[in-house]
Amino acid sequence: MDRATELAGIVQKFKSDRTRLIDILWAAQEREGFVSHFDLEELGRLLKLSVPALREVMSFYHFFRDQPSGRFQIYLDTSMIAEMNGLSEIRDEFERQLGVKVGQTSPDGQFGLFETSCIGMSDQAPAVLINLVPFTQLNRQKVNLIVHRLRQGVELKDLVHEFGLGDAQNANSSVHSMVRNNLKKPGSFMLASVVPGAGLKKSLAHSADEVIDTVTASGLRGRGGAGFPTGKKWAACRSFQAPKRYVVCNADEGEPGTFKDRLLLTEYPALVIEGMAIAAHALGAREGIIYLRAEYKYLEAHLQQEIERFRKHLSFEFDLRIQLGAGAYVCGEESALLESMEGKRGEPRLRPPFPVEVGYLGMPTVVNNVETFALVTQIFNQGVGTFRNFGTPRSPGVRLLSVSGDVAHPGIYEIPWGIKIGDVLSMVGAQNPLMIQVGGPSGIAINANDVNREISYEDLPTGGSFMVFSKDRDLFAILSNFMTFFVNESCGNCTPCRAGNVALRELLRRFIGGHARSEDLGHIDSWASIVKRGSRCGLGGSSPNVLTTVKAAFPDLFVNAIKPGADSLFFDFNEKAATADYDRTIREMK
Amino acid sequence: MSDAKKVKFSLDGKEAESHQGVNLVQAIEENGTHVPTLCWSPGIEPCLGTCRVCTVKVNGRETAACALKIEEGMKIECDTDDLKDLRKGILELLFVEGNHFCPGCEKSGDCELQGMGYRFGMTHPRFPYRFSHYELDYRGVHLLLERNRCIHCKRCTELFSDDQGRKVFSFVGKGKDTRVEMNLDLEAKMPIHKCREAASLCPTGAIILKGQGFDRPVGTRRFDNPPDKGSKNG
Ligand SMILES: Cc1cc2nc3c(=O)[nH]c(=O)nc-3n(C[C@H](O)[C@H](O)[C@H](O)COP(=O)(O)O)c2cc1C
Ligand code: SF4
Ligand code: SF4
Ligand code: FES
Repeated sequence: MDRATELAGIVQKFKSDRTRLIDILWAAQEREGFVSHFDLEELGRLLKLSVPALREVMSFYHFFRDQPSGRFQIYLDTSMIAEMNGLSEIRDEFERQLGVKVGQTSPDGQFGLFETSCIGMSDQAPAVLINLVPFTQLNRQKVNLIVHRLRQGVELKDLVHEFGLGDAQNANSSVHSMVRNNLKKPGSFMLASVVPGAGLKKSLAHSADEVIDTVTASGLRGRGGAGFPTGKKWAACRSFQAPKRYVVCNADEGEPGTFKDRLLLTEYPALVIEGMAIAAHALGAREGIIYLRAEYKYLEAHLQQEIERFRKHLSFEFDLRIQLGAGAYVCGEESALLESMEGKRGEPRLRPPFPVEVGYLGMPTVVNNVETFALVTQIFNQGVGTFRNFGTPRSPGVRLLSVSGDVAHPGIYEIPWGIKIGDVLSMVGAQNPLMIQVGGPSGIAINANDVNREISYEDLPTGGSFMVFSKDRDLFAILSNFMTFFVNESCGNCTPCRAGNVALRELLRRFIGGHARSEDLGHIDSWASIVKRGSRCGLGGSSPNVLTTVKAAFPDLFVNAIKPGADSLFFDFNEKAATADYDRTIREMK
Repeated sequence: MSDAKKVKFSLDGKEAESHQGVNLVQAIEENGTHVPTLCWSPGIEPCLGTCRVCTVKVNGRETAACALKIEEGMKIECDTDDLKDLRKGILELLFVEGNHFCPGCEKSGDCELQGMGYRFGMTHPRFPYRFSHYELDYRGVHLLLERNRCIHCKRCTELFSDDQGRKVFSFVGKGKDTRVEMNLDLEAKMPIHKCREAASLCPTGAIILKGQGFDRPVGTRRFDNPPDKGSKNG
C-alpha cells in the first residue's frame, strides 16, 4: 500500500476528526518511527489543517518525532531515582555500544537514544523504554545484551522474555512485560478482593443523587494530588445542564517517584473501570475515557481487554475508550489533559470555567485519578463506615504510597492517612535517611528527623510519591535534577513558570558553583514566590517548593555554600579555574 | 454597558463599582487604578492569559485580572507594594528571557514591553540575563520575525489570520524552547495592510515590517510621554 493511501486510511479510521489528532499522529508514526514532512502534508490536506498547525501540536510531545529516529527508539528515564541507581553508567554504555550520543540516531538508522522524565519505574530503576516497552533494573551488562540481541534481529517481545517476565499479570500475554508489581503491603481496604460488578450493582440500586451523597459522606478526596472532595466535584458536574457529560480517568501518573497507578492498572483494572461506571451512573454520563500516559502503553492492550471483559456488568450504555498520551508531564493537569484529549497542545486552560462545567469537547466533565475511581468502587463494596475507620477526620480512608530511593523495600504500600513519617520509614526499611520528598518534586521536602509529622492533608499531603534520600546523597544534586525536570516539563504558556523556573535553576547553580552571595539566600524565597503566585497552573504553582522546602528543612545547606569573601566585587572570577581546561579544549578541537 | 447590572466590589479596601460582565482589568481601571497588561488589551477576545503581568489578588488569591469578569462582592487587591513587585518581577523575567536591545529596535518607543519597563521604573532585572539563542527569520517577503524579542504572548498565533481566515503564525516546541513560526507561503501572499496588522498586533518588535522603522522622531512615539498623572503606576 502506498503511504498516501495508508494515511488516508488512518484519517478515515478516526472519521477525519481533528480532535483525535494524538491518535492519528501515533498511527502515522507507527510505520517508520517518525512522521515525515510528506506525512504532515497529507494529513494536513485530509484534516484541513496546515502543516505548521500540525507541527504546533506534534512538537509539544516528547515521543512524537519528525525526523528518522531509529527503528529502536530508546528513552532513558532521567529521574533522580534513576540517577541514584546508575543512570550515568547505562547512558554511557548505550552511547558506547551504539556509537551515538543522547539525542542522536545511529547512522544505520537502527537506534535512536533519547532522554525523558520519570517513566513510573522508580521502584526498579534505572529503566528505559525501547519503543515504549519498559526494560527495568538495568546495568552495563544488561545494556550490552540488549544492544547485542537487537542487532542480532531478536524481537523486543522475545528479548523481554529472555530478561524474564514480571510477576502476576505482568506475565500475562496481554501485558508481557518484565515490570514487577512490588506490592509490599496490600492493606485491607483498597485492594481487598471483591466480586466484580458488585459495587456498581449496589450503586445502581440508588438514585444518582444518593450515589453522590454517599461519595460525599465518605469524605473521599481525590488521589491525584490536589485532594479535592470527590463528591463535591461530582455534584458540581451534575448541576450543569448539558446534552452530554463525560467521565475521565487521569492515568497520566507523571509525578516523579509515583507508580501506584501502574499497579492498579495492571492488577486491579476492574476496580478502576467499575468506579468510572459508578461515576457515569451518578453523572448521567454515557462516555468515559482513560487518558493513559504513553509510558504505560505496554498496559494498553491489557486495559482494553479488561474494558471488554467488564461490559457484561453494565446494564446501561457506557462507552469506554483509552486515549494514549504522548509524553508530557503537564498533561496530568486536568485541563491540559482535556486539551490533549482534544488533539491540541497540552497547555492548561484558564479557569473558570472549570472542567466540571466546560470540560471535554465543551461538556461538563469529571476528571479523577485512577486510585480515586478504585476507592469509589471499594466504598460501595465495603461501605462508608469501613472506609472512614481509616485515616483522620479531614483525610479519611487509605491511600497507596509509591516508595523509592534509599530504602530496603521500594514498592507500593497501602497506608491509612495520618500515618507517622517514622512509621513509614521503619516499614520501608529506610537506610540512614536524611531527607524525604513527600509528594514528588511538586510536593514537600522534609528532614527525616521529623518522624512525628504525618501524611495527611492536615500536615503532609501527597499524590503518592515518597522518595527517601540517605545521608550519603548530595542534596544539591537532587535539587538540580528536580529543577531540570520542571524546566523541561513547563508547557511554556505562562511567563512565571516558563522563564521563572530557568531563573530559579540558575540561582541554584550559583550555590552549586560557589558563586552565590549572601543576598541570594533571600532570592530563593522571593523569586520562588513570583513563580508560585504568578503561574497559571499547578506546575509553576508548586515547582519552587523544592527549593523553599529544602531550604527550610536544611537551612545550613545554602548558607554553607556561600564562600567567604563572596560579597566582594569580582569574587567569582578565578583565572586559574577559568583556564584550567584550556589545553584539553584545544586538544579536543583539533 | 449602561443597561448592564451594577456591581459593587472592593478595590484595595475601598468601595468600587462597575457593571456585570465587565473585564476585571477594565473594572479596576474605571475606578482609577491602573492594571498593566501585555497579552491582553481591550477588545482581545478570547483572553490569552499568558503573560501574567496583570496579576492581582481576588478574594485573597493571585490571579490574572484579564481572565476574569467582575462579580458582585469581589475583594480585589491591586495597588499594593507586594503585588507591584510581583508584577515587576514577571516583567523582568520577560526581559531576561529574550534579548531586548531597545536602542536598536524598530519598535522602540512603540513597544508595549518597553513602555511597561519605563512605567514600572525598571532599571535592571533582578534575574540573570539568559542570552538565549534565537534564530531570526528574514525569509518573509514583507515581514521580519525577530524571535529575540518575542514574549510568547500568543497574540499572533491565536488571534491573527490572513484574509481567508488561515493561521499564519504558530508555535513549535514547548517550555523554554517554544518558538514562534511564520507560514512563509501565506505571508508572501498577504496584502500589506494585513502585514501591518500583524506587526501592530505584536506587542513587541518581534514582528516587524521590512524596510520601515526609525521613521518617527523621538518624543512623538507611543510611549515617549509618561502616563497621565491621574493614573497610578502598576
Ligand atoms: C502539573 C500537574 C500534573 C498533574 N499530574 C497528575 C497526574 O499525573 N495524575 C493525576 O491523577 N492528577 C494529576 N494532577 C492533578 C489533576 O490536575 C487533577 O487534580 C486530578 O486528576 C483530579 O483527580 P482527583 O480529584 O481524583 O485527584 C496534576 C496536576 C498538575 C498541576
Ligand atoms: S504554570 Fe507552567 S505548566 Fe502551567 S501553564 Fe504556566 S507554563 Fe504551563
Ligand atoms: S511574535 Fe509577537 S505577537 Fe507573536 S507571540 Fe511573540 S510577542 Fe506575541
Ligand atoms: S494581560 Fe493578563 S495575562 Fe497577560
